Amino acid sequence: MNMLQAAAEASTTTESPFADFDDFIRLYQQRVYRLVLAQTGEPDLAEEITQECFIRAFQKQKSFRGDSQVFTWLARIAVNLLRDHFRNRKFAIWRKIIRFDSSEPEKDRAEEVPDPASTPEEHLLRRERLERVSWRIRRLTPPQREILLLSAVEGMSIDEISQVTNKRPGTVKSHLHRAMMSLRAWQEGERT
Amino acid sequence: MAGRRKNLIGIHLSDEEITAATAGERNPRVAGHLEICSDCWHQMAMYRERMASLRQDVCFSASRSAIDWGRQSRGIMRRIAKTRGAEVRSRTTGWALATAALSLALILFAFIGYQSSPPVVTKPGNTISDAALLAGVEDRINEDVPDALQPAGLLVSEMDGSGRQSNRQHSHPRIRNAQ
Repeated sequence: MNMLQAAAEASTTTESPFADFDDFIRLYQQRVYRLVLAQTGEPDLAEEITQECFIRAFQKQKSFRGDSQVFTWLARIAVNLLRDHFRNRKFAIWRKIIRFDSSEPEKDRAEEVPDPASTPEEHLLRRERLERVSWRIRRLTPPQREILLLSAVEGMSIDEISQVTNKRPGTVKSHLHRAMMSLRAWQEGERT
Repeated sequence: MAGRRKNLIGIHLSDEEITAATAGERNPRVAGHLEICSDCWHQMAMYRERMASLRQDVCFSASRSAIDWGRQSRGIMRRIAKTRGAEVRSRTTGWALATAALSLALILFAFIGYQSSPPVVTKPGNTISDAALLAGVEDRINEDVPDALQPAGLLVSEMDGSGRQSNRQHSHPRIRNAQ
């Protein structure tokens, strides 16, 4: 568990995690983003889903009873959004046509300027690595993908994954095992 | 002891058990086996390595600068503010519409109620000519006994008997009518 995670979890024990929503976003946005990005493989889409996840969290903050970790609850929202996204993906082109809106504020457009802090080389390297990960992950079934990422990337236990994905622990173990077998096969294939 | 150890090692952990152990599941039997079986331990270490490699790849791919994270959090807060604004607007619009509808209904009811109440019709009274009015006034002026004392006057006249005629002549026209 890194320092960011530790700080995030510590904040849940003292007061409402939503007391300062700006802080709440800053604490969890990286974890939510990487979880979403690993599944979608598209940074823009991942950003949109991450934003939607926090908006949902804001709207549903009263439904958080505190019987699980904040991130488990947040990951559940993200996972549901991703499921909706993959379910509706075939209609994406129609949505793009319908949603086309040229009245985007100038401020939003200005913020789309690439970040000067990351060099083009770094950007390219990141992009390549993302493509490699996405290529592997996309070959898994959706439940395997969700479970493997929650376990490997977020370090969640079987019970936590079970809460997030709404699946029984036995099913979680089974999916995780199959995902690991696939991962092994690809890694062995890459070596040979 | 050595035999038991050999037995435990002889039955290696399944891939599923090793995966679960890698994911942090605490099973005493699996933990006991991993302590003594280097093969299974090695296998679990490989699984961990794979997971760590995947984690590294994902984290590297998702890494962004502080500027990007700041931009994203501001974007989220802006969208939340927009959502809240829209909620407030829709609530206000709802109230305004409800109030307008209620006002309209009240106006309508008042209008219908006003229409359905029977119109006040002024009945034309008996028109009295000016000459008759003047005659009435003159009669009043000529009265020797005021209206309030008319009954007493009558009584006196009855008792007296003599002034009957004169009383009849001077009595109020209404009293005359009554008689």
